[in-house]
Amino acid sequence: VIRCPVCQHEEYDGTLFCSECGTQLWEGKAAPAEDGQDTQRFGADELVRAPEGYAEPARPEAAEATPAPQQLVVRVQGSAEPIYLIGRAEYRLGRGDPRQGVRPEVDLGPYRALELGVSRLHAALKCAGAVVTITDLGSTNGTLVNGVRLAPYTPQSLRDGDELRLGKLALRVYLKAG
Amino acid sequence: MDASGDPYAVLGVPQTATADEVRLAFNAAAQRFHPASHPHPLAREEQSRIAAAYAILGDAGRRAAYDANTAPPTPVLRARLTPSRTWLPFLRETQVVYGLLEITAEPRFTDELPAPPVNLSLVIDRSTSMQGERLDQVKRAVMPLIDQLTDRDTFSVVAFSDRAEVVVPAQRNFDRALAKARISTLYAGGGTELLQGLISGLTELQRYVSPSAVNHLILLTDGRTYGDEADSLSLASLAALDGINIHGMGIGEEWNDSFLDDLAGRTGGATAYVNSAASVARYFREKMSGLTSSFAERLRLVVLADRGASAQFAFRSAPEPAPINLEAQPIRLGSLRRGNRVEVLVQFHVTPETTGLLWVGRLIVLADVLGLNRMDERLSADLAVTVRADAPSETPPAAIVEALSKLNLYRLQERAAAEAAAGHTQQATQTLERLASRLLASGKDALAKTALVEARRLARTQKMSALGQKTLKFGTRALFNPSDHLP
Repeated sequence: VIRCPVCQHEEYDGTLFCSECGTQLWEGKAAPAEDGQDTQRFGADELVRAPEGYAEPARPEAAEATPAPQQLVVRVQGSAEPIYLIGRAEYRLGRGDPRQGVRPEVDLGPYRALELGVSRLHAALKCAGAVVTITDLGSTNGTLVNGVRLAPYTPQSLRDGDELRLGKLALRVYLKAG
Repeated sequence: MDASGDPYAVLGVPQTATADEVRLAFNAAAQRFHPASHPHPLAREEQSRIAAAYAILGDAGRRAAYDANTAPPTPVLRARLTPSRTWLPFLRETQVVYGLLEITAEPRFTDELPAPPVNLSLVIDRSTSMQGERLDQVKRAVMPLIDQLTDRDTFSVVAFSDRAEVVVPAQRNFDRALAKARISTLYAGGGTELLQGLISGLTELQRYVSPSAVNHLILLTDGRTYGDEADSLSLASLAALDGINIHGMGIGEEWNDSFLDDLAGRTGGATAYVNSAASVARYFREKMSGLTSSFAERLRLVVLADRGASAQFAFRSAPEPAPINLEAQPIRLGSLRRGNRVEVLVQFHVTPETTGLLWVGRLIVLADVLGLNRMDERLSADLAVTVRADAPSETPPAAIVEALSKLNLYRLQERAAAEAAAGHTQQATQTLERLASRLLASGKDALAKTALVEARRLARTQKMSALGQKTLKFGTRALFNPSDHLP
């Protein structure tokens, strides 16, 4: 059984389009809309190396990086602006593609997501009480937590300061009880 | 002997196969269609073909005699079946495999054949609602058609309201001027009793019905018929057995599209939606060129799922996109035009029980190739996948993705209409919005707009408009034929 990343409807393995919402259920060159670009696929060894031109910044102190009232904050490596995630139980991370109707809550498009191999719907962050999990949504290049690759569609709980890699895009998660 | 009796084709072995290869092929084939695991009568028929083929090829003496006395068969049709995947992960759960079947003519036969004779009947609704411009449009569109008919063709016209009348009786070499004069004096008035018209039209057609001709009935209507729908459908099923194709043409918004789809579908025909003078004329022009360029008529498809597999859904994506009823086998697919193709998409469910080769289904096609006088020409194609614990992920073939992405839009539209009809307004509104965003993503802005307008209408009034519903239904169907335009 596979799960539609958009509407969560369950379909049998091998189904190509979600019967509920029409979303394409596999990554690939399906409908090459003129300006919709497909996620480029990287070799496995490319993904463990830090992307070029990226100086690994010192791990910031969680306490000073997390503004007090927020519970969940992510920061894309190399970017100064933290992204505050407020008000939802679930946030999908990916590369927005309006032409295909794909609008993740956290659109990583502005962070060179296409170049870094982020899928349109790459992973989902879920908050259930004090527990925050990350689930890879069957992405092309996979999701890593602190360098460990996740099995697709299998939630993994996160701790404050964990590093995520979506393809070659690195970001850090900060959690604090609100 | 035609290809249908070729024992090599039945067992799927080349003529150079060794005795061992023949025996192995027979064992595999016999097991697939064994009556104990396959109660379907068509499987039993397949089983006896396999046994008959092995009776010849399994015996060295009979095989040598067969080879010496039989010219190799010359296939005139081709069937190509593309699976959506070649590998299946070894999961003991239901999985989906799609198959795209394409039927084409062998190119070397298509040039030399003369155009087949046409036996055509037009059945025209002349109920009160047809009054004025509508009936005039139809009359104007029919005139050029009459000029295109040759002396070998037969032609008849029936008009119906509460009762039916034969306006132009079926005949060859008919008086064109007289036929045109009769059609031009048709006037509108009365109700819509479709069964009466259908009976008269089929009666006219029957007088010249011939296996070597293209026997088609075109039914034009703009309204709903009451109380005689079931009888009309039964009559259509009988007409199909006589080799007659019924095509529906709906004018305006009031006609019953699911009824007309069912009626035409039973015979291998299709339904078209027209609402302008230009589209009526174009419909007749295209229909006529289709009839005269027919290569094979009365295509029939049998879908035999293997043990552990089931056919869930089928759709004819070309030449005229139409839903298929898998319950009514053989499935009638209509005509194959020269240089054209007939294309069917079938969705199977399979549950692997072991690793290795997994047969999913056999698709059998029967057709009458008119110009060569080869009736019941038979073709078959098998769908199989390999089950492996470490099945590699693969990209589905472009042709399947192409067809499915359009079918996806059509099915969303069907879903919205069904939800709206069942009173699930909120769900239907959401489905229409999803359809709109999918349509926008594929650049179909006008249809997307219609879907959004209908979503808003639904939220406000709990109903879709008949015009909007038909526009979406036939608009998403037309996406399969890029050359087609909306009316």
